[in-house]
Amino acid sequence: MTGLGDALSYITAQSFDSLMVLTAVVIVFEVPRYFGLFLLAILSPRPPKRPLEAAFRHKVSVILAGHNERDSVRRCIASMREQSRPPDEIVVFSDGSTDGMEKVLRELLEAGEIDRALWSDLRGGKSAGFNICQRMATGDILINIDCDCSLDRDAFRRIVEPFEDPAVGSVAGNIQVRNAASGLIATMQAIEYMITIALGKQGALAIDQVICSSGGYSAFRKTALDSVGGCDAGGGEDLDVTMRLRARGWKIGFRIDSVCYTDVPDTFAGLVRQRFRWERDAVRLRFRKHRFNLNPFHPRFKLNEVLHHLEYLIFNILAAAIMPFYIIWLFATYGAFAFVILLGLQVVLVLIDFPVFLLAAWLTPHVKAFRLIPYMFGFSVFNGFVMRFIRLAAYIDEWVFHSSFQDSYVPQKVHDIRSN
Amino acid sequence: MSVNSHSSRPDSPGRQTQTKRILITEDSPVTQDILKLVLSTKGHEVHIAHDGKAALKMLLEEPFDLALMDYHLPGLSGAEVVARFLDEHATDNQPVFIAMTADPDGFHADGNVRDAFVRVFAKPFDFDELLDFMETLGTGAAADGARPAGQGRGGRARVPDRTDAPKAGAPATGGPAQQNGDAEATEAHRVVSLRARPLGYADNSPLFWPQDIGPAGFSMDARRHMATGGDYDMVVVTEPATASDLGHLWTVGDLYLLPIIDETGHLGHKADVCLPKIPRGSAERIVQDVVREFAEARASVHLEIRQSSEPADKLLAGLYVRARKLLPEFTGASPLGFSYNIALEESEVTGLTGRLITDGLLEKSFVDRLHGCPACSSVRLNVREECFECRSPHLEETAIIHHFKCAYQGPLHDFKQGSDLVCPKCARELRHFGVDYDKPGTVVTCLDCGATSSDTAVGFKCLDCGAHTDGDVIATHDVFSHALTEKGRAFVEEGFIVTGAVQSQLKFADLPLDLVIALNKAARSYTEAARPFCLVAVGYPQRRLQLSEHGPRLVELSRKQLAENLRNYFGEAVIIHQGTDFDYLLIDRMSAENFQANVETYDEVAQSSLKIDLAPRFSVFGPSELFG
Repeated sequence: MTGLGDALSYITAQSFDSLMVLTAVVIVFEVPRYFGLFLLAILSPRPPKRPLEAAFRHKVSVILAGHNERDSVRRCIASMREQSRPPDEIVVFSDGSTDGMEKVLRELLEAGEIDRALWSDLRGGKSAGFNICQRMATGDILINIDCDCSLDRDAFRRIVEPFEDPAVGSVAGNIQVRNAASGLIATMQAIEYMITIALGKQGALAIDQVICSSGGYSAFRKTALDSVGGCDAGGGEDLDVTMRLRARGWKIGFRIDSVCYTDVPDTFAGLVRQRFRWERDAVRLRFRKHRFNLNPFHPRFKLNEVLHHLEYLIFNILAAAIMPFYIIWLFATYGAFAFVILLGLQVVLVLIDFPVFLLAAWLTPHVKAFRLIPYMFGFSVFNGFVMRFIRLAAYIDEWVFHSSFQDSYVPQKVHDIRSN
Repeated sequence: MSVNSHSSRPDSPGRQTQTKRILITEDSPVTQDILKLVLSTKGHEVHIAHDGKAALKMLLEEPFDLALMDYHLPGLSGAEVVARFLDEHATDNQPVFIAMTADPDGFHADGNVRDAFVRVFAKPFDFDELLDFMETLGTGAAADGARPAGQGRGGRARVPDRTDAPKAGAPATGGPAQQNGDAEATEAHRVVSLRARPLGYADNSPLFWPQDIGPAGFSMDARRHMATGGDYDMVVVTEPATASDLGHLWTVGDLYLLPIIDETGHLGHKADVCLPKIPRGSAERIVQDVVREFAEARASVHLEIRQSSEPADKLLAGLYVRARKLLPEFTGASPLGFSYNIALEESEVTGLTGRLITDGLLEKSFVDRLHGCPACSSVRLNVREECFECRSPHLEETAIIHHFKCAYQGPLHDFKQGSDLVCPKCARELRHFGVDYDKPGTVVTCLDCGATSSDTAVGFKCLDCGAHTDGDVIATHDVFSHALTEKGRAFVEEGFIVTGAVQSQLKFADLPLDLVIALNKAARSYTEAARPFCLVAVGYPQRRLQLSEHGPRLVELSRKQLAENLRNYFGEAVIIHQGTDFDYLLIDRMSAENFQANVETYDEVAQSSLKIDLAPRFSVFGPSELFG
């Protein structure tokens, strides 16, 4: 107890300046981002709710490309059939499945549950699957969804509404966690999704900074997709295609009230693998394929794109990179007191996270968020330290080893030939 | 003994045919049917009795002008019927008794019999002669022919003439009746029939199709033959026929139990012998064997079944006699797609088998599942791959190409530019299969509506009515083969006692009075004091075999001994009645379940010290089965 008491008395004895130095990481890397979001989300107008007829102005096709999704595809189709605005066409592609997924597709096709069933014997990867669905679909709006997702009843109705604006090329859906109860790891992600997707994208929407119509659930205008040629080879195709749409001048929307539920990894290893994939694809796409966005002399350079690149660079990469140095510095300077300081920082983070979470919960319809409140304290540790180290490892991995070129999500034959 | 009927009745000599009430007592269903048919068409009122007992009952209850009696009858013989009738009945208003017999010698040997009948016709008798005789009864011209019978000796005296030359005597009774146009037409028909009739069945009595039994029914010739008690032992089909053409065989008597010899080969497996399929040299032997086998098998079909008009019973007996499973054979000639190996239409067969299966008389086993047009039920369908959207079969299958470099994936024709493959997305040329691109699957495009899928729907187009059906909603018909069960065989051999449905009527009608009284008593004490009892019918399914092996005397003795053994074993508790087909045991204080449980013991007891194995079959009935 004396250690803690000493530490507290030490901290309280610090001058304002030295306190700022101590909490610099928090102040620089957390506060602006969260409060920015907080303000934007509060200030941005809620999406207007239109009458149901408005959702029927376009022909809507759902495209579903999956690999070995025999068991989940039925539930996914069933939840589409339950939509207040059911799709006009469902195109499903089984990408070289070996679990008999095509048999299920055949049955669904025979039953009239789906309109197009396509399958291949050889896996071509998510991008190629997306592309052939896009090629075969006949709707004006294509809703891309993962087989393991299920939907809120109004999801489709809401996601097609923004297409009233002809400049909108894609609308991201609000993906939330279905299996929040399946463990601490999943619960943490449930909170994370609420803050980063629901609140984060809602805030980003206010300043036209929605960067990723995520592959899990999002809608595209067919003409917009055709203008960029659909997905390119390689992972992170959802981020890539969204950035290319943006580069072409298409507006990217987000609907917080178009909710889609997905299962997240409920083991630490699963989570690490997933985030490695996401982060290294993001790094590769942002700073290799799309690095022209950071070159003021490039003909396609746009200030608007610089903003999200910088945001990513500072708040994701730098914040993660500085973390080990900060901790080493802390221990070197304050010795055993470092623990207490870190604890104190956590208290500060919780104080920040708490209102942010409440705001996200309040903004996100249909999601049972308040059950998650007790886990907020753990979330600050999870997000501030654990996720940050995972990200850091992923960046190093990609920078040094180009690991995204060995990603098993993309077949080797594609890795062998793709350029970036 | 005076059989002096017509004189006591007011006759009207002016009329050639007078409506008469005629009783036919005859156990052969064919003869029954034909006599009834012919006499009815002559305007007579015809009644049928199956056996002597029934005949006596009817004779005593109602007045008849004429009684045609078979001499050999189950139960009471014809002569006994007449004798009893005369004993119990006032002498006025008696019918004229006429006997029919296949055994004139036996007939003559029996004095009592001779006296009973006015006239005897030897089977097969000339049907015209019978009609002539009846005419004379009507006009009174037969006074010479019939009257002497009243004296007894006259009837006897005439018999040898008739039996020696049954057909020659017709004109002898003569008279104006003979000269009607009916007889001429008959004569003419006979000539035609004889000319058309093929030869080569010297040893048999064949019924020819269509000469004897054509689309219009039976020829006069055939009717005459049957009406006079003549038997057929085979049906010969001489012209291409279908099962429905042979429908008459199933409606008249038990002709359906005759083997069908198909000379044309048209009937296929519906015939019992298909002559074109067997070597010429062995044809006669095979036909003779089949005729003999059928005759033997027919003999063990119970009379009740042979006389039944129920199509289901006929089907069972038909299968039994043919010793055959009801097997479907596939054929494109029928919209049903298959035919059964029996000369019945398939729709009739399937209509009958259901109930027979429920009753446990037939057992079915699955053969195949056919798909049928929902509009016309035809199985003649074109199975085609179709577009899921518009159901057009106009489909084209193309490969999917996956361009690795830019992830474009689409059908081959997206890439085709002349002989080159060029990516429509990135305009790169695809040169190296496996490195630049591959073909991971195929896609089927409908050339009518443009829809694409990796798979095709299956649809059916009916070749008979043109109706289209989707593969997943097409109606299916299962085709089964059917075989007689043990119970079905027993039913055919032992009659209705075997099935529950008609037991009650059988039991009480056929059981002797003292047994019925005892049964009622037992039933009363069962309802009042819950004292159990059971009635056991002991049948002898193999009696035909046993009779031929051991002779009637030994079989009869053994049956008596068996009854005696059971009486000794059960003592006071049992009342035993020995009938012709069955022996009945009424056992007091024993439940049906109890008897059933120990049936093996009782079997052993019953057959102890018997010289031959009677193979009795015990059918046990408790109060619930007996009285519902």
